[in-house]
Amino acid sequence: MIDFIKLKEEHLEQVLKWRTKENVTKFMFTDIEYNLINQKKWFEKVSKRPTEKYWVIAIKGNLIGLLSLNNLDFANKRTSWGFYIGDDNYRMYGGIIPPYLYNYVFYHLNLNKITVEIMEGNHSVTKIHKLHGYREVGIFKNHIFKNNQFHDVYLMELLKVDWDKKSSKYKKSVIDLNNKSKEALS
Amino acid sequence: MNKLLNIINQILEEAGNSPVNSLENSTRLRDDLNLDSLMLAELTVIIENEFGVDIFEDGIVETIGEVVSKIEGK
Repeated sequence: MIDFIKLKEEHLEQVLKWRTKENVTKFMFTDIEYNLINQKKWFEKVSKRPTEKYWVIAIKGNLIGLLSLNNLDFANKRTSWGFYIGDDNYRMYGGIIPPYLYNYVFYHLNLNKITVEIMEGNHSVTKIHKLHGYREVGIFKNHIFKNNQFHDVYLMELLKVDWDKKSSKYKKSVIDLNNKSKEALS
Repeated sequence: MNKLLNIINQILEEAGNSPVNSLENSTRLRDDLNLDSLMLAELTVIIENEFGVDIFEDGIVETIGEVVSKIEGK
């Protein structure tokens, strides 16, 4: 089963190991050094922000990656989000995680839109998002300067009305709000 | 199994990979078929459309045999 577990300090070392892996960081907007002290400072900072939610993704109890809602905006009923699979053994399951989040965002938080920014070259994620009903909004040209060169960033959005059309295929992709995820998702 | 083979080969060919001649229950989605995250997401949608089954309803699947069991409702 898939669970979203609220990010806690006990997860930070594992998350930092994932976050500094080449497979993960190559499509991140920033690269960070392996520094647990800085990681704890980051955690303390984001934990205080009501606009951010972070979860560790677990499959059958195995921690496999990180998922977040960012820029949560209840006034305008929208949020952006991001995720990565840190455990290489579970990378192939990256496409089945998002529907769990969408069902939570649209039918539990009752938001109207979810947006995402994707680093150029991350074609699989772009295609997965289109499969789930996203539309391309535009491209920020030369938006990220990393590894001594500029990179474009692709903007995509998924409206609730478009997820409604897709969600019948994913109606069982629901986080169990009666288990330990309840704490995380409440 | 033939219908599943056609679905798998459709996904493999769309991704530019070579089709497979046959599937065994022990065939592993990742290690043997080299399915990536997009291909597995597509497989999930196609099987839902074709068979009305969410193969990940009760957790992850790793082999063709597990997919077949889900389709057959075992």
